[in-house]
Amino acid sequence: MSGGRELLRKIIRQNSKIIVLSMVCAVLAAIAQALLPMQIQRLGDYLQQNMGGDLGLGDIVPFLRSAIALLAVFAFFFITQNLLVAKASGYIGSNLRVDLNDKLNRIPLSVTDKYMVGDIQSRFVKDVDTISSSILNTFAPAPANLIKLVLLLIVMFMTDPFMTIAVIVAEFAGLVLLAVVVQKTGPHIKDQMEALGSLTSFTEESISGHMVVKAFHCEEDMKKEFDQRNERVSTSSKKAQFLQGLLQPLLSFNSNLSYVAVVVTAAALFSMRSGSLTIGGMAAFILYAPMIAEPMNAVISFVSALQQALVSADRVAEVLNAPEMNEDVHKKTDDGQKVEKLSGDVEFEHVTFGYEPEQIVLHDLSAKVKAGQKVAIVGPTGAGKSTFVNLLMRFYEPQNGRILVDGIPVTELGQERLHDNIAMVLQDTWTFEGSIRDNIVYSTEGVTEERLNKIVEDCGLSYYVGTLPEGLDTVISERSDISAGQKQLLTIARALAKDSPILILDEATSNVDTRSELLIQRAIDRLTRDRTSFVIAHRLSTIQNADCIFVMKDGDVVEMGKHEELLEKNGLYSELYHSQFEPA
Amino acid sequence: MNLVFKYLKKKDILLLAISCLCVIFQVIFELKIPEFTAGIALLVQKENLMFSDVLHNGMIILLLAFGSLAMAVVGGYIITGIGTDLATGIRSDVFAKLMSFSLQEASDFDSSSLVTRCTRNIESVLMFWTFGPLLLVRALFTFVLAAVKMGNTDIRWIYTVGTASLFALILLSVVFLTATGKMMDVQTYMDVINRQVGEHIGGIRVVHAFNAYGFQKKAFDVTDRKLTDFNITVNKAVSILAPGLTVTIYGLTIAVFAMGTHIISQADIAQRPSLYADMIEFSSYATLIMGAVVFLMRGLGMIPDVLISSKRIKEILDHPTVINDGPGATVKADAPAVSFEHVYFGYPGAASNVLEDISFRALKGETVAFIGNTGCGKSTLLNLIPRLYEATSGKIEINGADIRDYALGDLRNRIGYVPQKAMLFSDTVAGNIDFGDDGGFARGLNEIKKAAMTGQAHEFIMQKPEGYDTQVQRGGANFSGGQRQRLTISRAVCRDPEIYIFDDSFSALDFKTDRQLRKALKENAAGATLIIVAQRIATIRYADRIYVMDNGKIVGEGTHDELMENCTVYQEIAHSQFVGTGKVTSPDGEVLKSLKAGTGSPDLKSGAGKEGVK
Repeated sequence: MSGGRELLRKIIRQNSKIIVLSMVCAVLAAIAQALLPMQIQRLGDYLQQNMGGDLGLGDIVPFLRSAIALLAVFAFFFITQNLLVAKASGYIGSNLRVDLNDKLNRIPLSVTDKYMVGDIQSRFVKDVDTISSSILNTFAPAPANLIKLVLLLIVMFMTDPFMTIAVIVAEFAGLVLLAVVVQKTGPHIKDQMEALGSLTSFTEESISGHMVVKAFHCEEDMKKEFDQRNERVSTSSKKAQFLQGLLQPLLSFNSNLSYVAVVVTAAALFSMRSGSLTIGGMAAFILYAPMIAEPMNAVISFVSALQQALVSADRVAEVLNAPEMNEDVHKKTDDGQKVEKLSGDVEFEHVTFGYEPEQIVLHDLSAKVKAGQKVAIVGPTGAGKSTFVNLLMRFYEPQNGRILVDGIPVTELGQERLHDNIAMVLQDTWTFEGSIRDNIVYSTEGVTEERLNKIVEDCGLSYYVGTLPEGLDTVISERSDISAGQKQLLTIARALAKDSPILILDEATSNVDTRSELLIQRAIDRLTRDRTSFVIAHRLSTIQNADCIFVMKDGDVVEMGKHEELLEKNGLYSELYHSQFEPA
Repeated sequence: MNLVFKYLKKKDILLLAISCLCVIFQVIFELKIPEFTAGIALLVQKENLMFSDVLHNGMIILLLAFGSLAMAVVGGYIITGIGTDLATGIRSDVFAKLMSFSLQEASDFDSSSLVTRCTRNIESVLMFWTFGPLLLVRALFTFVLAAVKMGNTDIRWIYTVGTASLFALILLSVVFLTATGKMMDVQTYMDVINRQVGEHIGGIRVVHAFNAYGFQKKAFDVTDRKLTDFNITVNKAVSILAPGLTVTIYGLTIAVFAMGTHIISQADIAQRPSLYADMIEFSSYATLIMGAVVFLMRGLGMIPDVLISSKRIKEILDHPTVINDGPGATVKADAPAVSFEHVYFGYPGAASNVLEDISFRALKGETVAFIGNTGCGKSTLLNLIPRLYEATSGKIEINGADIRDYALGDLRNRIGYVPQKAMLFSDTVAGNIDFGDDGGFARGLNEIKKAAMTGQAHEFIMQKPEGYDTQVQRGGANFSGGQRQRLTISRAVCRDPEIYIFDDSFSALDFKTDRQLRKALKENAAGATLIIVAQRIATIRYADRIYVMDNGKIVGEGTHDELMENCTVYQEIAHSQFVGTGKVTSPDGEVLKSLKAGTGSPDLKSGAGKEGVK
């Protein structure tokens, strides 16, 4: 159990006003509800007494008036309570989702990379739903029920203490049974939620990998795997649902048990001819037995709902309490002013790093890049090129050594300020459902229409955008037929719109045709004249005019220099270079 | 609701009947208990009270209570069993149907909604069917019991019940109509939330890199705001239900008394006491009936959600599949491995065609390549071969048989497809390589290793501490881009297919790995036909035939050398790759000369190209 309790406690604290208010409403509604039968009883008695004489509808108007007034009071408070709860529940859910969403941005990538999309989605939707819909609904009527319970117990004690003890003992025996069932239900609810999370993850992945599943004719295997997980859901939910379904019958069994306790104890008392119990007293207890079951019932449903909420709260809290990135991540500059841009000197000082501590990817890497230089990083796949960039971006922290920008260690710079100065195009193209305009401008502020058009043109997107019915405002989604190359162009345009002193292109043009790439390259060269740029690429056209080429292998920079210098060296670079002319 | 009945087997209907009987007995037992308590009350009033008599009655009550509990346990056990199996069955079928969709049909649905349809919506249906029937039976049975007893009273009292029922009905309808409409919006926005969460996790690096926290938050908060608003509207509408119906019950009692007063006042004095007794009895039955309505309401409250959920599930189950198994194909030994004849393709609903008049052939064992500008339709063309999409017109043949004649499994098992985006699954490395239907037997580790060696993946896999058992993280996050591509290539190799399809699958590989890979393929998959889409001339220059595409049409075909002579588009592509941008670091002539130097290579079948051209 991790933090679910605290989360629920926090929610209750934050909504204490609403909870108290709805509790008051529930109590008032309960009072009106208790008075109502008395009014009707009085009406009945009046009728019975006056049956012999003249009787007209007019005579009962006062009774009707007070009954209807009570009914109105009851309805008002009951509805108010429900409306308060409905509204507050909505906001509790909303706050949880927003907190979860904000939190995702503060969790280090090493953790988020392990998250399954479907599982996280089910926490955002299903678990949040369970928490928000159960918590207030159970809390609001609690005091009203407690008051009912206490009042009944007082009345019962005043009628006959012996009988009261008998009823309490019977109820208690039943409660033990219930407690056992409730306790047994808990783990099954947890199993059910976990099984559902795993099923959702699998479904999500099968859908995002649909193309591969089809092409490999893997539908059967996927279905088998799905059915296995489905079976797990089935087994756990059968148990959970069955046990949850037992609560209601157990409660009525409980009230029947108190019946028996009442009559048997009463009979015993009578047969012993001792005590002060009257026939009327016993009749009253026969009425009390089911009445006391009602608030008990509420208490049990309260516990059961709370238990379910706790399972979901644990799942939500697991994300909310996940470790966060270093504190400086969201650190702004000291005075909160927008600092002038960095110039773009980058230095790696004896950097050692491994994604897993025992598996070092970069060994004691040192490199220095002057502002305005164009650096190309080449090397066999898996040599650590993207890792280099990941560290510069502080997606990961090095185990040893440090990275400096403009002579300032990036840890002091703060991630937000660092990122403000870097525009990056990642290897994995990422677009979201939204207009092309939104996908390009993204979070950059103050991009004029003129500049946007220029960027679109520079990136070779003008033709594509021109063919779209709504131009830049066309919404793209995963259903749109947009090619991988076009997506890459969009992400490049996004980076260009950001206009930062440092530019990183990680395999940014691998799916783009070379003519378009040439155009982009020219545009980038124009833009990056005074900027530092890092380019990871395999194509020669992209790298050979770099000011400096880093050749990486197995986590080390093994060669460094200009294209011609490296060719003359006859080392790894030259080998990589020449391999493109050799036949397979 | 017929969604559910389809899934109920004969056995289930019998079991359902048994559980309904259980509920009926439960109600009977429960109603019997007060009779015995009343009996005890009478016994106690007797002069010579026998304790054993009381105990006897007490035991009967206890038995009835146990009986009622037992009935509830049995009924509950059966119904949860049926309900869960029902949900499991529907879920399994929905998933199977999803998997049977080709990309064409899947594109009719929002993919984030597919997940919800397969999970959350089915749970709503399950919840309803686990509790619904029992609530219904309980309510109906109570209703019938009460109605029978009410039958022989003054008709005027029935009016009050009628009015109250009408009021309850109107209340229910208003609430449901309000809620159902908004519930639809709730579902839609939940889908959007799901999508945005998926996008957020998938693009988390971009969010970080662009400091787009505010932007991302704004977009999410807008959706959340809408979802919350709709949620609150639905909650509010539903929250009127319980107070409304309770008020109706009390109102009914008051009305019965008012009507009673009216009836009694008009009757003879002599008849009045019996009318009064009728009234008291009637009001207790009326309360019973309304109690049944409350039970019904708890079931009915779930209905708007269940209706929408069922609809969304049915939409999938009823969606026609366009791409289905063919009758079976007769393979011709001497026919080309792949041939396209005047193939056109346009996405459904799109105005213009993506592919126009595509004709080409790839003979068995040949390597055929496609090159062309971004968005020219190369990937789309490849998607047509395994029938991921259906060509709009024209004919595609594999081994001389129309691809529409093949059983889909037969067709796709001949093909090793390597997609442009390296899609990996959350499984072990071995599980990712040994993926797909392979004629009924799983590959052994040796075959997996062999495939990984050909795919140039073995080395980096072995560097991982757990080797082939390494767990692949979501989207392959623990592998570099090039490594992911090599894993997906190994996956295709592992099937030992007749035809390989590489959709720009070498883009993240360095030239050396690219070359080694092609060399290994040549050695280990000698007879296979290779269809390659690539951007790099180096990847395709030794292909038997290269097709140059531009805006959905083939504008040039031939070997590298032929195209260098006569295809301007191709020449431009080649130039752009070997000429530096801005600063020319190698003189043009030298690069082009070295490009042509490859012509002398012994294993280049430059002649084979012409035979293939029709």
